[in-house]
Amino acid sequence: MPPTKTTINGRSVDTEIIARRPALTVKVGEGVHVVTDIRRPSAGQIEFSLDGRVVRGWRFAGADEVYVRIAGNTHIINVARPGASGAGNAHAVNDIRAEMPGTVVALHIAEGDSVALGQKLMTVESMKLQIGVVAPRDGVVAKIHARLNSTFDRGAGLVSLAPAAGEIEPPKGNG
Amino acid sequence: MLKRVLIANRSEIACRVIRTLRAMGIGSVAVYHLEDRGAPHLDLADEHVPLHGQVPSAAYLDQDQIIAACKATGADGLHPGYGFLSENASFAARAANEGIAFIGPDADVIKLMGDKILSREFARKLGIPIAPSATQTGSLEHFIEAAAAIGFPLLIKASAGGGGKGMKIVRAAKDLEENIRMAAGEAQRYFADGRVYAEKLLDQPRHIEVQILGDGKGNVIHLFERECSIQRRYQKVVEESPAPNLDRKLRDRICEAAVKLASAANYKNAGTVEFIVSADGTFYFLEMNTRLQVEHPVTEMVTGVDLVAEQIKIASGQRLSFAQKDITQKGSAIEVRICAERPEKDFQPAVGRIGLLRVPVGENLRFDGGIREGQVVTPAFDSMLAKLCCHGENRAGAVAGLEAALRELVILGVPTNIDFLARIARNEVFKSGKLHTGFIAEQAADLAPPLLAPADEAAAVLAALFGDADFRRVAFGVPEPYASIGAWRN
Repeated sequence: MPPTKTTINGRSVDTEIIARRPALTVKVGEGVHVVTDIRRPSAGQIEFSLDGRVVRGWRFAGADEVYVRIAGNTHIINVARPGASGAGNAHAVNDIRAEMPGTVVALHIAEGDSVALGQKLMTVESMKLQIGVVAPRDGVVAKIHARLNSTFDRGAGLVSLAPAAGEIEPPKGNG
Repeated sequence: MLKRVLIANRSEIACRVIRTLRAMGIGSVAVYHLEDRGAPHLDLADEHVPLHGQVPSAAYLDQDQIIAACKATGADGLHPGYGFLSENASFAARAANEGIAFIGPDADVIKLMGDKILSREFARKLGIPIAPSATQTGSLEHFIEAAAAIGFPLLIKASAGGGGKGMKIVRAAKDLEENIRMAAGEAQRYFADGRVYAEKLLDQPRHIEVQILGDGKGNVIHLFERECSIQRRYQKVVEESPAPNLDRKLRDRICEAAVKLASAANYKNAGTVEFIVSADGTFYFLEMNTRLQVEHPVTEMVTGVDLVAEQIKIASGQRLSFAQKDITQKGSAIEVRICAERPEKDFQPAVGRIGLLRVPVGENLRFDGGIREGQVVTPAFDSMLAKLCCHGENRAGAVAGLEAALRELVILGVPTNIDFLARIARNEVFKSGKLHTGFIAEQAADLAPPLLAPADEAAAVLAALFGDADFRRVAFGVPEPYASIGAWRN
C-alpha cells in the first residue's frame, strides 16, 4: 500500500503500513510504531496500545475530517482519499475560497492589482463577525468572483490570483 | 405570580430559563425557527410555537409573531433572555400594552440605558465617573477635532452598540477619520443608528461589572462584581466572581456606584452595570445592560441566588424578598464560553455537526448548554455553544476544577475553543489573577497550541486512520479479525 497522506491540524504527515504480523507496524512521519490491543470501550471512544503505551481517546468522523480527542487535546485530521484531486499538490494557491458562508461587506482590491502575502483583499461577514480575507501569497488579482454585498456559500471562490511568476500551471485532472 | 411564560429566545438561555420556570411550577412556551427543529429547548418546554421567516435570526426578532405566540398560548409573561429583543424598548412597551408582563425593566429605562450617550450623561449627572469622551453633535470635522483632543489611544464606539460591533481602536490621529467612518458604517448596519462617540482607551484596563436586582418599588441591591477582562474580539470569554486582586474598598465603591445608578432609574429587573477599571484604581462607568447576562451563573454560584427566579418574581409584581445584608459571596466561581471557532485563526467562527458530546458532571460544575449530538452548527446564529462553570472554595480551586472539566469535556465534529480555554486555565499569569483586557493578545505565545511530540502525533493520526475503511482493509485484511468493522463507524 502506498503511504496514506494525512494532515493533522494542518500539518502533513505520511503514514505507511510496514508490517501486519506479528503486530501491526506503522510508519507515521519519521517514526515507526507498533500498535496492539485496539478496542472500542464505548460509543465514540477508542483505545489502543502504541509501543506498549495505552492511548485512550475520543473519535468522530465528520464529512470532511476526523476529530480525535486524546488527553484533553482535540486534533483535526484529514485523510486523503485515493483519486481525490489536489491532495499533496505543492503548487501555490491560486483560488481563495470561502471557509464559511457569508457576505462581502468591503472590497479592498481591484482586478489587476498586485498584492502581497497577508494583504487584506476583502472584508466578509460570517456569523455576525467581520473577517478579513488575506492574500495567501504575493501575486496579481486575476478575478474577483464575489461582488460587494453579495452572499456566498462555504467553499465558493472569492478571488483568483494569477499564477505566480515562474509557476507552471498544474495539469488538470480528470475529475 | 405569572402562570405561563414564553421565552423569546433559543439555545442555552432558553433552556436555562425553562429550568427555573419548571422549578417554580410555571408553564413554559418555547418559540423556534425551522433551523432549530430538534433543539433541546423544545424538549424542555411545555409548549412550542414555530416562527417563520427566511432569515432564522430575524424570526426571533419578529415582534408580531412573538406577540401572536403569547396570545395563542395564553402566556402572561415574556422572558427575552439576552440578545435578540431583550433590550428593545418598543417591544417591551408593546408587550405591556398587550397585557403581557415583559420580564425586564420598563421601556423608558431600556431606552435610557440602551443609548450609550444618554446613559453616560445620566451617570455623569449622578456623580458617577465616566471616561473622557467626545460625542458627535455637529460636523464630522468638529467631532474629529474633539476626539483627537482627548488624546490617543482612543476607542470609537457605537451609541446603540454592544458586543463589540462598531467598535474601533485608534492609536494615531491619521487613522481617526477612517475609523470613525468605519465604526459609523458598522453601527448603521447593525443597529440602524450610525451615531458613534470617542472614548479614552485606558492602558491595561479591567472589565468589572456589578449584578443588580431592583423591584421597581424603590429596592435596589447588588450581588457583587464579576470580572470579565478576558476577551477576544471585544467579547467576553472567561468570567468570574469575585474579581481577583481587586481592592476590597475599591470593589465596594464600584458596587455602590452601580446601585446608585440603578436606584436613580427606579430599576426593575436583574441588570448589570459595567465599568472599566485602570491599573491605578480609577474606574469609569461603561454601560448598563438591562437584561440577564450570559455570565450570570457565576454570580448565582457564589451568592446562591437564582437570578431568573428573582426576575420572574419582580415581573409578577413582588418586592425583593431579601436585603443587601443578606447577600454574601461564598467561594469563587468561574465560567468559560464554549464557542464553535478556531482560536488559532483569529477566532474565526466555525460550522459543522456536533457528532460526539460528553459533558463532565460534578457537584461543583454547571454546564449551561443548548446543544445535542447530531445538531448542525450553522452560521445563522451566534457561535456560542454552551457555558461551562466551576465553583470552588477559592479561586485556585475553581480554576483547577474548571481546567479538569475542560479536559474531560468532549465536543467533536465542529472546531471549538475548548483546548484554548484549558490553556488559559493553565496560564501562570491567569492563575496569578493579574488580568486585563489585553491578556489574550499579550499571552498569545503561551496560549498557542503546543507542538505535538512525534509519538502523540502518531497516536492521533492512527486513532483517525483506524476508522478509515481503506486503511483498515490493508492493516487488518478483510474480513478478519475486525469484522465488527461497523463498530468503528460513527
